[in-house]
Amino acid sequence: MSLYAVEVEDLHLRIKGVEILRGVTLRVRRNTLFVLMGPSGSGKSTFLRTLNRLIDFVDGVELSGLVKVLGQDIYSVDPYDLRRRVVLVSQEPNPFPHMTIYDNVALPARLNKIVRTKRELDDLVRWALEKVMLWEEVKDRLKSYPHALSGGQRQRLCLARALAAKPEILLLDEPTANIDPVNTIKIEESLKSLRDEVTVIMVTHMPHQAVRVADHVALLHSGVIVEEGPAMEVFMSPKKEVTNEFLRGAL
Amino acid sequence: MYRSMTSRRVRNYVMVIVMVAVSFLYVTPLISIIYTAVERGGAVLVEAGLRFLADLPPTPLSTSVGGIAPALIGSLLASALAILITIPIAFLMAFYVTEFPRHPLSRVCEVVVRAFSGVPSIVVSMFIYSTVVMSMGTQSLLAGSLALAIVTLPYTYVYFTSAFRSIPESLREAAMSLGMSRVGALIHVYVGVLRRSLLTGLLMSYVRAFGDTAPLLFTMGFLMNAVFAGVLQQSNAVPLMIFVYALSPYENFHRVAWGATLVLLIIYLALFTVSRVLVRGVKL
Amino acid sequence: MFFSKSDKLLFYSTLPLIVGVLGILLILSYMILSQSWPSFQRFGFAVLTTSAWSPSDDPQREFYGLAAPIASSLYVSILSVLVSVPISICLTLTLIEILPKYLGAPLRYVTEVMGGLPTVIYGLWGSTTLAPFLRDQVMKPLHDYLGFIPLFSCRPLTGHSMLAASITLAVATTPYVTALLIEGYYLIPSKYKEGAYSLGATDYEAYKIMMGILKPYVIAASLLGFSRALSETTIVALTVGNSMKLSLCLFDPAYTIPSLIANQFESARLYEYALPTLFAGALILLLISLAASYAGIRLVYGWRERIHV
Repeated sequence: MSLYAVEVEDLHLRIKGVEILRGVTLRVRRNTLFVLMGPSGSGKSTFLRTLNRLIDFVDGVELSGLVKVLGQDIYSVDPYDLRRRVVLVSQEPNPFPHMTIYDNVALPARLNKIVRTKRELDDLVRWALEKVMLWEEVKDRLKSYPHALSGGQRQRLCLARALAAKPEILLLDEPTANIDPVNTIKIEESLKSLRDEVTVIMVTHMPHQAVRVADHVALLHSGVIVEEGPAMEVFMSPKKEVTNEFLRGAL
Repeated sequence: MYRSMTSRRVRNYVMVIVMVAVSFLYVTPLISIIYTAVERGGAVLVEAGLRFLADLPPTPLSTSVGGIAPALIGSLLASALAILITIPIAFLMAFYVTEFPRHPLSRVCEVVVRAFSGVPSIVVSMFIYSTVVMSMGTQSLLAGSLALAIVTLPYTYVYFTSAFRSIPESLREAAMSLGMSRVGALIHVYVGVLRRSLLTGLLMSYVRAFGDTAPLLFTMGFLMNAVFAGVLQQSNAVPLMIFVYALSPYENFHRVAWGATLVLLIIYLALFTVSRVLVRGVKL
Repeated sequence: MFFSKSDKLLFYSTLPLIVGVLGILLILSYMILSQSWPSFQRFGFAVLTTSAWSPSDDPQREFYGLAAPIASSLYVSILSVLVSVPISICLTLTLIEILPKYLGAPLRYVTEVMGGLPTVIYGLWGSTTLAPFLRDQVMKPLHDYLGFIPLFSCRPLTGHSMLAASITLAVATTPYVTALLIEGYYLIPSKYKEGAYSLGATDYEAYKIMMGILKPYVIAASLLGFSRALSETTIVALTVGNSMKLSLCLFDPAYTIPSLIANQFESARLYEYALPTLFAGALILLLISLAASYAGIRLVYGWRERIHV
């Protein structure tokens, strides 16, 4: 088994002729919490959606370079199988409005037949909700619908739903962008507790969030990786002027 | 541990193929309709030639097919008259509702027009019969047009509201910031911007009125012995003639019905295509 | 909101229009009610619960009951919705999600053509092409092999039947239902689609989730399609066989309220209670149709407000 969860070499990507990524090269070790930082419009979300091929749904994408996820070229594997193992949590909370809280979390297990019995499913749902510290808040209303939850709770519900899929890699696209500080802290705590079980790749435009959670960081700017390394090193002594500017909030 | 991806994928392919197949199967009736209309109606048109459009209908047992002139004239006039009534009403109401969406009167307007679209057209026909026809003492082209106008109104209204809603907010702001009143903006900006979609709405309303049968059943009359007898007198319509002749027991009438169907189909397809070409030119 | 002078003019010129249109609706309802009143006075509720059409020159011996046409109207319309809604769901997904643009665009054009096609053309086609086809290819085999099921128990004669009417109606109303569903589908925020796929759903599983989100809209579209099928006159009058009969069997001819009115209106004018009874039928039709459209529209608006959270 490869040491790396993600290996990307010289990835170029254009959407309708506009170059978004201009030669990204990056490796992410397994079971780390990797944060990809970058100002808005730097191509972070696009990069994240390339990793589990959600980019396939965008019109007019041209792509070159090598992207290996979990040791295999993503264009040599079945995209649905890939997405089952590499699950993405979107920026906007998107719990399915027609399913109860319970059914939302149980959905991936049902799709993939991860569990055999109702009991196992109950346990899985509870485990996932506990992981995101939502269990206490919703345990009495698992049968109600997500519109009763606050925005932050809904985002944690989505995180729980993603965890219940038992992914090998978890992709997070600015998960706390539209969320209050309390819920943000809770999400960050959950992420830290996941480090040993799953590889987490999070995208953010807020340097201080990266400081709080990351093991390893990289800075994406104008479609290229400007700098990457262990979080401490990068934050304490950035090698590039651009990184310095980003960390100061000047980008 | 995981359900095999293969079984899910097989299921996926099967279902997707089924959905595409159902969709393409769905359009086969149109092919059958066009085929039958050309086959049966074509024979009639070839036999009668252009006179089919200019002659009076045949008697049930005659051997010639005659023509559909009263119906053609009646349809052209009644639909024109109907949209002449509908268009200004629908236009003003649609503009009002899109400009003042929160005004109580707009709510009333929305509800009333929606309710109109729920009124069965045969009920409209009975209503016009018991008011206009009864008080005039005869069925007439005017009564038919009124029935068509009521039936077309919600349709035209919906078309115009969606046209007005398609005006970009930036354009609206630009007009307002030049100090235009809403009516001024309507006359100087919106009508110009929306001219193609408004024209399409007009055309589609005409097509709709031209093809409708039920509103005319008790209102239009069934003129056969003259091409045109006046607006306040009985008239005829192409769909009405097809309907009545199709229900009749006479073979000759069935032939006329098919000929008229082909004519109606050609008119419909032509107007529909023109309106689509117009829509395609709309870029906002 | 501000009113300039010319805006006031707009307001005052629109006001009478809206009042006028509202007035027409009220007068229409009143006319239908008052015209049907003699029938209710004479027969009471029996006019809705019995089935009969026996006109007579002697008003004392006239007897009418609309139970059969009312029941058949509902039966035929529900059946047509059961056919058109699944087709519309397939069409919606096929047009939006499955087919590439160069195939989707022409298919869409064709369905739009079918949506505006004059109903009398569907009626004539249903009566002369579809009904005989159904009789020979569908009804006869079903009757021969599954005749013990009440739905198929009667022998198909001309093919003009409730089944032929429902299917022709379904063909005619599918574009309308599809247009509604497509409109609703585009209103679903794209984040849900991403959510479904990013959990590893296959296309079909993702479509199922999207349709689950759309469910209230699907029900609304069914109600509006039902209302449309219920009010349709031309198609049904040409295909349903027109016979005063109360039957469960799909292959039997029947009258729906609109087809009864279309067929009997001319002669009903000659009898004292026949015309009022037809108006009573119109009243029932109006009430059911308005109720179904109202419920459908409420659902659509409610869903639109809830989906954008």
